[in-house]
Amino acid sequence: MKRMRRACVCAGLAMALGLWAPAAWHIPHQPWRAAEAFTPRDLRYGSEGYDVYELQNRLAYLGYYHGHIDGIFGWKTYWAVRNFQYNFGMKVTGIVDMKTKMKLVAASKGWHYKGPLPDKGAAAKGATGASRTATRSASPARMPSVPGLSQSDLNLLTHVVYAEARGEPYVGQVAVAAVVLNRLHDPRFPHTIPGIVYQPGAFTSVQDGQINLQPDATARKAVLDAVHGWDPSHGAVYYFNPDTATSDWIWSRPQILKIGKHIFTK
Amino acid sequence: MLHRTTWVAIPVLGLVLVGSGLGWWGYGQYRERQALAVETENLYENSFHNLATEIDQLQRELGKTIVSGDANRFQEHLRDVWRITYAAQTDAARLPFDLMPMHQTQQFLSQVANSANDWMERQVKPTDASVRKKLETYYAQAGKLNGQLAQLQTTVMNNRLSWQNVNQALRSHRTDNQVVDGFRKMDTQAGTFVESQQRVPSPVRPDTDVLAKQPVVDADGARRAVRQFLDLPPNTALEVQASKAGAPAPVYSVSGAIPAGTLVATVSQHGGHVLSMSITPKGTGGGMVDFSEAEDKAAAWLTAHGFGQVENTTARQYDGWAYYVFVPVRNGAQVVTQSVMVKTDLHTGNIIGYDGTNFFMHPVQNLAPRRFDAAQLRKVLSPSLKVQMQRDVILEDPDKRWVPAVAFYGTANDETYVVYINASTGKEIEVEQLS
Repeated sequence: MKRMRRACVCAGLAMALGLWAPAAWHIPHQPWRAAEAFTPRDLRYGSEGYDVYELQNRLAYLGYYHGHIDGIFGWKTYWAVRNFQYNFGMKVTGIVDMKTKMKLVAASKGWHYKGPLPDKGAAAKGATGASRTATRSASPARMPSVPGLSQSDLNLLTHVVYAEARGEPYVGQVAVAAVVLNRLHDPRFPHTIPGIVYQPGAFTSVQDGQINLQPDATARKAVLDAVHGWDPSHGAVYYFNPDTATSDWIWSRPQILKIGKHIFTK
Repeated sequence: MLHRTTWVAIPVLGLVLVGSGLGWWGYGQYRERQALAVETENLYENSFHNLATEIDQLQRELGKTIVSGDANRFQEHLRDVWRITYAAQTDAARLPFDLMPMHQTQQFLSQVANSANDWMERQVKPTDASVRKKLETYYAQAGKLNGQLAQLQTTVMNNRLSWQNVNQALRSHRTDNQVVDGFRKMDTQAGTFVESQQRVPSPVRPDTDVLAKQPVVDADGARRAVRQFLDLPPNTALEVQASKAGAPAPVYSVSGAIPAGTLVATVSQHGGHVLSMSITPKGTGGGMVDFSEAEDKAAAWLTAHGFGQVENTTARQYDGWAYYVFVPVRNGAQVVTQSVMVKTDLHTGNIIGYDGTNFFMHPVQNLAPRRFDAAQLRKVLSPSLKVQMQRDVILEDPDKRWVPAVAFYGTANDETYVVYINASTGKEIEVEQLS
């Protein structure tokens, strides 16, 4: 316990030193010890890493958190933090700052860190410092959850993007994902991602089976960019490759712009 | 003698064996292909016939709704109408895409579904004249579609037409095919009775050009806007591509190589606003910046770029990239429709993406007055929602009206929801599931 507090004090000093602090956190292969797993950084909605894992464990120990202990600061963690802050007479922010951490550590004395450490274990992914190697080594297939779209929707989208536009510039890949999303909002098309993707004849890659190719991290990023609102196709619901298009009908669509090999149309 | 016969017999026998083997294998392949073809055909048939049945049902249910005088039953009928349109849309979507753009039929179904949904939400009385009139129109339109589908069904069945033959006919650009003609005809007819295209509420992708009244900028103006937005030196070479007629709002795509990577930006032709930008970074940088700090930096970046005070509503990270969604704050209320996204490369701490399309395309107009406070509106909520947080917001409702509201964040069924209650009328606007 003493060690933990010392870690906090050290971190406080580091913070006080302001500019110097970030450099200190990035020292690779810092000799972390179990009790010092809480990092001096703030944690908030969207944070990931072994320190979130510790946060969830401590909150669960105190009965505030009932979700999966997955090292991802999601809504359940957020409500747990807010309720903890409220019950301990703190300002309810949902952000785990140093003050909240100290209170939390003091309240959960009986809990000892046994989880993954920054330099090993899967939960370290995305955390400060050590995460670089973790995120680089493997392209994580799990994508962050997006309201309104299921993981299988996101997965299907990445398959379409990879199969349809893997040779295209990045912006062209985002545009293909955007076209599928634009169709979702268009009354002329099916109202679900699988409905749109598997609509007979809608995508050549579905017909020739290329949809089953394993997508890469770039395709996943393109999908995430599109679901976050980036639409390089500017509202397109069709696209075609002018060199291989066999339908005369597609040429009659009002065009919007060309990205890479694809012409995007209304 | 004998051995000569044997020498001849061996290759002959071998050939016969190989030949029959090939034949057997080939026949198997053929059988498999046939089976597959049949299966595909069955899927098409299934969807087509389902569609025909559902349009028939829809017409009947619309009829019953018109006849019904009981307020409660009226609502139940509407629910059934909605349910059937949903099923019909699903089946229409399964039919060959390039064969018959069933879009207008889909549109009709979608319109009926939206109306039914709207009426159920508003709990309209069966005596409402405008509702009755619309129901009668829908009934007549469903009747027309129903008749055509039935006719087509007869043609298909009597002539043993296969959908795959139809596909083939289409591929060879033949138009004398009866099924193709039948569907083309139906499609144009459906198009004639969809008077006004209903807009699906899509806060993400506006389809009207609200900036149309602002002065037009030229390609150089777009370049200047991007350079200023990203603090690029004035001699940075940028390529500009103007969008063609199909774009919902005329924009420029501005691209170029900048020190941080490959840049693609969108600038509105009216007003010259930088609507979005994205930089594909060259490498993955050295360090790793803190997710929390990067969020504060992104918020400050937005404020410095003229978005005023902003608050974060959601944040995610994937593979070293962080996505932050902010909403501007106006008189203490979050303008949720104008959400702005900022993307940060956590390897370098650089902001590598931004999308402010919603901010520019959804200006706040004719905001209704706020009549209820959160305490009063809480009564509207379902008792099963455990409220965790509430926030005053302004938003554009599905009917494109700007309304004040209170966002109640709460948990139920082990999930997190946000319920928007209109603070002007006291009615629920929508429920979103966040987790």
